[in-house]
Amino acid sequence: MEKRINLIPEDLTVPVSTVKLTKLINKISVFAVILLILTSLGMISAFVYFSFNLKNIDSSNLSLKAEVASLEKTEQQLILTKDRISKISLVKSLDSANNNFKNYLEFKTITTNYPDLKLGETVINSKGMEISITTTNTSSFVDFLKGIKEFDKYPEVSISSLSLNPKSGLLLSLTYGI
Amino acid sequence: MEYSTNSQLKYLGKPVLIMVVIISLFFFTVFFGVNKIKTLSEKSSKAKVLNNQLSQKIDILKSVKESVAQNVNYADIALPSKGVSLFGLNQVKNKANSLGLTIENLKATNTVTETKDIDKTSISFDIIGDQTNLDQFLNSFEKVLPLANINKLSITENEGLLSASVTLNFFSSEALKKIPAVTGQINSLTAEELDVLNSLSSYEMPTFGMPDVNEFPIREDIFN
Repeated sequence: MEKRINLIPEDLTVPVSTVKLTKLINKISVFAVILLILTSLGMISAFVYFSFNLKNIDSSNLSLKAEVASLEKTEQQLILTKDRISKISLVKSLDSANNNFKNYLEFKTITTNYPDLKLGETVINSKGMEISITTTNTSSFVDFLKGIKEFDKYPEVSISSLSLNPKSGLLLSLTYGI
Repeated sequence: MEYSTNSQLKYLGKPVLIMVVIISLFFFTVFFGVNKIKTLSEKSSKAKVLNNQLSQKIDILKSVKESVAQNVNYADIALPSKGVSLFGLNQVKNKANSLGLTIENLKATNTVTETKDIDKTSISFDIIGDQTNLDQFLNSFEKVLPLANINKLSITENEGLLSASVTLNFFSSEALKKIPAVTGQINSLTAEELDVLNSLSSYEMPTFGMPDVNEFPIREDIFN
């Protein structure tokens, strides 16, 4: 059996508690070194991974940018077309006399049922229309007034003037929508 | 005699110093590494977003390439940036000629702003002709390019012929001055926008007579 003999004088012997503390510090240091190595390896791996990833995405972006640049003409056309279309829709929604002109044509087809009636001057604008009608036949005129309710394109119609001339007959001015 | 405190401290000094250095190194590595990786990760995320945007943009551009290229002329002429009076006068004259109507006092006013980004030019004239053709003439301005509408109309009948004083509005708009950057986002044409664009192809384009260069007479060879 091996026997340990301490030949160092007692006053030179390191106290047991100090030796224990030193051992603990050494253990902590070893543990910290291992942790440091592992952390460093982890960090390096993550750094390499992200760098590689970023490099790949950057090169992909470069080729995509080149592709977008090659489609530059289409892009410009698309943007200009979108801008034009929004403005076209706006123009189409603007007030105009187009609908009132269509209404006038419809009104005219009604007056064809009364051959004695003659359309005078008609003024059409974006708000409505003003129509002058002349006739020498009173009964036809009365029938026309009865039949005019068929024309319901406007919520209201007003008689702006009605006059009688012994030579030219009756003159009626109707105002729609104005 | 006991081991002195100073000697104990000296004994402990080296391992403590090593431990402090190692722990400092550890914290430095963690701090520096995490920062670096965070920066890289952020750059990577941004690059990914850009990558998606660009891919999306390419898909959109490829999908609209044909439909836009086909109809871009119609959209351009629907609201020209310049020359709207010429286009308008040309449409009025051509239509009147083709329907056998007589035009007098044809004139165009200066271009004025109608609404934001949209200008209008009024073209006024007196026109005489039979009822059917005049109706057809006036109706046709609903579907002409550049876009136009009837502003004011006064019709009178005289000995079987109709005469009308007409004011038409023709519309124009300045071209866009700024195009987004390559990396800027774009949206595809919506269904409504495609409808508007396709409907324009049924509109009547202005026609101009162009001299044909091939029709110049061939010079005689004076040496033969």
